[in-house]
Amino acid sequence: MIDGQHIPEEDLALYALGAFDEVREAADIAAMKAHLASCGNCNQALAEVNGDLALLALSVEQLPLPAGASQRFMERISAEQRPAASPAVHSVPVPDRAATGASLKHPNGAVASGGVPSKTPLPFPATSARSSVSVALPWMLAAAMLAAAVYLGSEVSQLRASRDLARAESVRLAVEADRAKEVLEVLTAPAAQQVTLTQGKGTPAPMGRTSYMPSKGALVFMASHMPSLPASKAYELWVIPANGHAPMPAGTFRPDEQGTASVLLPPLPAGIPAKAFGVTIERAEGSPVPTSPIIMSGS
Amino acid sequence: MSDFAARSGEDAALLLGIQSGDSGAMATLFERYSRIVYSVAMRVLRDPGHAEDVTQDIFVRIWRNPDSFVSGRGTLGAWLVVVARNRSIDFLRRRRPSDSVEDVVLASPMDLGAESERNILMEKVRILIADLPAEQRKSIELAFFDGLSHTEIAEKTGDPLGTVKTRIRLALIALRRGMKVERQ
Repeated sequence: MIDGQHIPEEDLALYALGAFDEVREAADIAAMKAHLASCGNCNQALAEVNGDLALLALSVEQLPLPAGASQRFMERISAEQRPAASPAVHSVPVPDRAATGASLKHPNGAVASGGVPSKTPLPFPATSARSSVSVALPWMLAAAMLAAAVYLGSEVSQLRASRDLARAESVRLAVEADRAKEVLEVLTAPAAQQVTLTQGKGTPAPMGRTSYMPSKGALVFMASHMPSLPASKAYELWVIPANGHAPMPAGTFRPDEQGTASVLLPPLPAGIPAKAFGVTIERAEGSPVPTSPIIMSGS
Repeated sequence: MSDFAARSGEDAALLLGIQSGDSGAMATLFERYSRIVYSVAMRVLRDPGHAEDVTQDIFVRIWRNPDSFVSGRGTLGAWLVVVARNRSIDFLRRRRPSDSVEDVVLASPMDLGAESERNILMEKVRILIADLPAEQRKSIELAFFDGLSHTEIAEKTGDPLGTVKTRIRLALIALRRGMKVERQ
């Protein structure tokens, strides 16, 4: 397998791929491992083959992570904080009941109620004798501080886990926000080339498209091939509620030189389903109610 | 400083942060590379749950031992995709990882940190692989993505063992040369 001084490149490729038969060629694999342990040339050649394999790996179709994968990962690493990363308070042992009881015993044995000497240790609290209070107090304070430290350590750990999850979520949201911003920019930027594809060669008719989410009161309207208007006039978009109430104004717009226009997220109340949408021509500042016939509509 | 150098520096800074237990740095590294690692695992395992397990394991190993990757061995992204493939094959063969993560030594200048550049690179690689002779492409894909040994590939294709070895090697040479031409 090792030809002369070095491992042939064909074998290095199979070695990097793990494509040797692990049982039948075990001796060859072991010989190559031993050679690689001391041969710089073959190590360099192997590193280059691994670089080729990295290229090969990039031929895959890039897929999104399953929903919640980032959160699951952060929860997993939060659950196993490395010792170096752990706050010092984590190293404070939690006193168990027996140990705490032992620490509260009188150092000289015990003082029973009423000052009667006893060999039996007293359970906490032993407060009948003034001297026992003065001895027990520092221990009680120490125990209280210990408990506080343990509690605070636990709180710190939980806060860190929450912070890490929040960071991961903020990274994800930032990526999504960037993408949404980019989509919006392509749709609405004056420099963007807006082209409507139509059948035949005739002049396309004015056209509008509305996306409306009643639950959020969110609306996006895009129009094309809109005739220009005098400066004193503007188009006004209307949401016509399904409950029969009066049309709601959903923003004014004026087309650009190409005849395109948009209305993005006008202030609308949430929770009002629409049965139709319409456009009228109003005065430039808009009108609270339609004052002219509907020139475009859709339902 | 070039974008590539800047991002290599960013990776190094993130690894330093991870060394000191900064889980925010770990979150950023995961965000940067988990998609490509998961995609490689999916190509091998064809199961979203198993691919996520492999992806998590790889990043948890980095969290536990950020020294696994040494920058002198190539870029972090290239190293991760090879580790992702190897771990997935281990999973496919139901065996314990044959090598520790640290054992993957790799020389590659590829920068996979930026999604846009990664997409361009991936498109180039796909074209190069599509241009390979069909027998070479089949042999290398059976070895790399299906984890078959050269003996198994020879049995499957009916080709002599020596031919399989040569095809695999030629495919890798063609890939390397093709990328060199792209970079020039």
